[in-house]
Amino acid sequence: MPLSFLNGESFTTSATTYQHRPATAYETHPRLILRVAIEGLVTHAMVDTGGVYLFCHPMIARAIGFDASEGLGLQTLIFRQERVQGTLHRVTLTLLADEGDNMPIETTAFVPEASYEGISDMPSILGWHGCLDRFRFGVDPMTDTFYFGAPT
Amino acid sequence: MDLNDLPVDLAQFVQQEVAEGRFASVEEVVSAALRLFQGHEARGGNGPATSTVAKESGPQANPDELERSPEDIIRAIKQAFETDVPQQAERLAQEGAQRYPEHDELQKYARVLAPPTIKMAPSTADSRTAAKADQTWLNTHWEDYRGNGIALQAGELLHATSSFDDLIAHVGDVRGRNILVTKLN
Repeated sequence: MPLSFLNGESFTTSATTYQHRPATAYETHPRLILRVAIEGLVTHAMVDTGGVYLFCHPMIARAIGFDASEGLGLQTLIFRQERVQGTLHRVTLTLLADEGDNMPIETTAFVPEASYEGISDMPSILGWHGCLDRFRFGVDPMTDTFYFGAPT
Repeated sequence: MDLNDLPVDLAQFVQQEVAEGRFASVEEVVSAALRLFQGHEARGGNGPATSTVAKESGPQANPDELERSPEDIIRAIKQAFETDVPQQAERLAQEGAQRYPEHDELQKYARVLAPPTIKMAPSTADSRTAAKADQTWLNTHWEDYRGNGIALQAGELLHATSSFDDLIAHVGDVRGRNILVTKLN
């Protein structure tokens, strides 16, 4: 179902239903959790408008078979006020549509080291910078619908 | 943290930042200020601190940066990440790759940190139906399987286990098979 500006110009062209539940066992507030594909692997990712890049869970990275030598050497990023070490990769992240077209994004992904305990319980994360800030989206909390589309 | 330990003008600034919602706590303000200062020091420490400026000024090359060796540029990129200025890291990577087109490592940095590219790709009726079936299953059962990794295909549970690695070992390579693998918490 497309969304349009008042002048009729297209705003978003696709939609998906999101899960609205806590992302971790120790959180009580529900998050927006989307169905995405990372390098063709279908999984869930949480929307985090305070984050950067695609934060790819190490378990998902292992399942995909990321080759550390293809990424940038060990980097330290700030994640939730903590310094976290990991590797940066170029990946295809695809937002999967219930209605309309899918949206593949060639983007930067950060894979924290598996030893980073803060991520153990979390899904992968769609951060703002370098990910969410690159396309149009809207949310209907009445129907748990996430609308999205490529910028024109 | 006791604000009484800070100079009056600094304590007022910190209180204002929290009150206006830019930071959740006093500790967050101080932590961000420390990172800004560290970034400033890493860039030479002269003149005004540039972290915030770099976020807002766009891809303008600092003349000093153009004189850097590839190794210096890579160190500066890492430093930019460590001081929470990814925009600066991306700019340095692109400028470094242009400056040193034969340097493989800088070319890799530029490729990985390039601005995202987006396109639309057709979905299939089968994939849309499967997604809706998975969603229906999750709405009904997710609490029953909290703490487990699950594999779902078109609304059918293929496997559930507490270990995500065991899950992948059980279902095999799921890439391109439209099987949802996730951990329910």
